[in-house]
Amino acid sequence: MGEVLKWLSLGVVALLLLVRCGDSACLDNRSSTPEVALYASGTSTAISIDSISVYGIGQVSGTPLVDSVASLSSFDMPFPIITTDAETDTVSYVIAYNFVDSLYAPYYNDTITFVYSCYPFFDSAECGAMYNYEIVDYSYTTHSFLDYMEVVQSAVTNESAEHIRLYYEVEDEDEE
Amino acid sequence: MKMKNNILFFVLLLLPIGLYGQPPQQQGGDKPPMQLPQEDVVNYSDTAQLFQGVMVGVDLFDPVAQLLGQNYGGYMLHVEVDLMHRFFPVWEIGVGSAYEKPDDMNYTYTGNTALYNRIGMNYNFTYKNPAYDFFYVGFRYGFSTYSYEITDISMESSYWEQIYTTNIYDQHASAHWFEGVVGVQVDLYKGLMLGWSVAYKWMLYESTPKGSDPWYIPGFGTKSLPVGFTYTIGYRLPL
Repeated sequence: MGEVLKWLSLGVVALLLLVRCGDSACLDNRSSTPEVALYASGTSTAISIDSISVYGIGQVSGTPLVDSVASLSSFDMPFPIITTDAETDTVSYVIAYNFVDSLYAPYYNDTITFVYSCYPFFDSAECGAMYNYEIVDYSYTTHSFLDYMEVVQSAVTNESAEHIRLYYEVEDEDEE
Repeated sequence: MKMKNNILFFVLLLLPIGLYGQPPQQQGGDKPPMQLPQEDVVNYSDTAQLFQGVMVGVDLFDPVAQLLGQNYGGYMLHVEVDLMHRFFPVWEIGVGSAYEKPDDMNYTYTGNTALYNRIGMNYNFTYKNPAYDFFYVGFRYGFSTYSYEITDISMESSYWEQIYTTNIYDQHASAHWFEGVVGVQVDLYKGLMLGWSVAYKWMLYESTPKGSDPWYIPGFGTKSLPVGFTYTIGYRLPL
């Protein structure tokens, strides 16, 4: 009996040491960023579009968020941190369709605008702290190819999820 | 240094195991059976009596682990009542706190010192052993109400070229959990008891504030490691 207990105890200790040495990894994103996905109008069919560029209005150095990427189907679209006492802020992004030379014809760009709030959130020791966002309102233009926009999940946390959908009319190949 | 700490940790844990099951179990061979002092022996006929004694002890694991670099923990006092040398109702009361400032992360986590309680029962599987050494399994119900804050949070939005520092103050939470426990206790000398236990913990209920998910819960430990250890030294009060 004593020997059995000794070995049982040793086994438990070995298990403890293994557990003690293990660290859980942070599997989620470290920052909370809205994810935008492209869809065919009136459907839940994901699509991809060539030569799209996306710019944040007011971005200091004018750097594009997405720079004429081929076969773009989704992208992350960061919101600025609200650094004032204001409860909400507004951010706008321009979507340029480079395949129609829209850089030289701004009328063919689309603009999407969001009113949002944000708050700091501590997730875990491994993932640290981040800002979470809440999309309060949104609007969009349909000057160019954008048909309409939906916010499918207004709460933006560090868990991977689709938040915004941009819908485009897609020609049915069977009709050609 | 870390290796040295781990060796010390291992030796500390193994000490009660080495002592466990020492005479009177020693049998066979040419040596005569060792006689235990009468005060270290449970009179087997006495186990019919309900109340067999009280043990009071403190946990050494957390204070030692903190000396070796663990950035959370506290102090715990436990009281056990020996019923028929078989059932041991347990009350564990302690305080816990935490301080974490990882080099490669963007925050400082401060868990304020808070009280916790655990109540439960141990069952002595070796109650027929005439000595006070025993191996047990048990359960605990634990609860704590606590507060914490996360400060020096450095945020960066690379696309918008923002760097911003903020704090999350006044985070209040509570937790209720259940533990399954196994452990060993040995009688070192005339009622001076040494032992260790390991517990696996299940969260039953917790209330968390909007701005955070707590990292450390007093009495429960860190949420990423639902396993708790105790290494106790105590005294069995004479009847």
